[in-house]
Amino acid sequence: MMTPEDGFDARLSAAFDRADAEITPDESFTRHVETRLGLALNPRTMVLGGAGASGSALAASQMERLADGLQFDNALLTQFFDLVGTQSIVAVVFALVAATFIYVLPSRRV
Amino acid sequence: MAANDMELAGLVAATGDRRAFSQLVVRHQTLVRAMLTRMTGNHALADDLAQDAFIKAYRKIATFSGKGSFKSWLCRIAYTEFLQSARKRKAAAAALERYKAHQDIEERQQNWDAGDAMDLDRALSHLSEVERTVIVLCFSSGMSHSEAAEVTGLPLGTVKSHINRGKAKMRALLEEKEAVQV
Repeated sequence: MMTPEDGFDARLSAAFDRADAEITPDESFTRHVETRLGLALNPRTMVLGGAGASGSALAASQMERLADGLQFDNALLTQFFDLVGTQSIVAVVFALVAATFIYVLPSRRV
Repeated sequence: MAANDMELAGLVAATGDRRAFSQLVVRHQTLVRAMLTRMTGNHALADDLAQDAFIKAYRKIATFSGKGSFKSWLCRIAYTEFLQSARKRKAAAAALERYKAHQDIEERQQNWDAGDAMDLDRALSHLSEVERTVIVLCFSSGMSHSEAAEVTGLPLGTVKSHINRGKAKMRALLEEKEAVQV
């Protein structure tokens, strides 16, 4: 037997169903979330990215000093270093390390 | 065959796959938006909070153990977003007044034909925050009392008490409105 309480529950559920029917799936909502996921940088990413960049800068500064002291027996290598210059090589290495961080961090998690 | 919530959540947790997460957003957005719309009484605010909830869910997806349903886990995050939003407005009563003001402006601007939704939202606005939350979780989101307890972190008995009190208030309000109309 249906009690008055059951009757009110059914009425309340129906009222919620009618009200919630006005909220339809919205593609723009999904797009907004996707865009924010693509842009978001969480504290973990920023801390790791910052640490990675600082480490790369430190390593690169030491590498320049090392590279200046290098002597090559091979004429081709010597010519290459003379042509490109130590600073350019250090810049390329730094860029590679930074690019690796940029690629790896967002692909793991926002 | 489409992957279920558990499989998609597992894929997102393991690889950070955003396309898999988008499927979860498509699947659950109406549930979360409806729940927050009924809780706040404001469509725009509810959509903002729902977006924040999905972003947070993506970041915290590794914490989803799979013991309960993905829906309950997601609703818990959405509920936390709602509470934080209300706290930012200092007092729930002041926030409710602001929601109502926003709602009135929104209704005038969009000429939104709400009908039942307006009656329902008005009745819900007379409930306490926790009564409104558990009523919405059970009657709008289709959760059991146990699931509502899981989402809110309240004991099951407390949830049942709030539901009974909330229903009694809504019943009185709706019957009062009907009496005026007759």
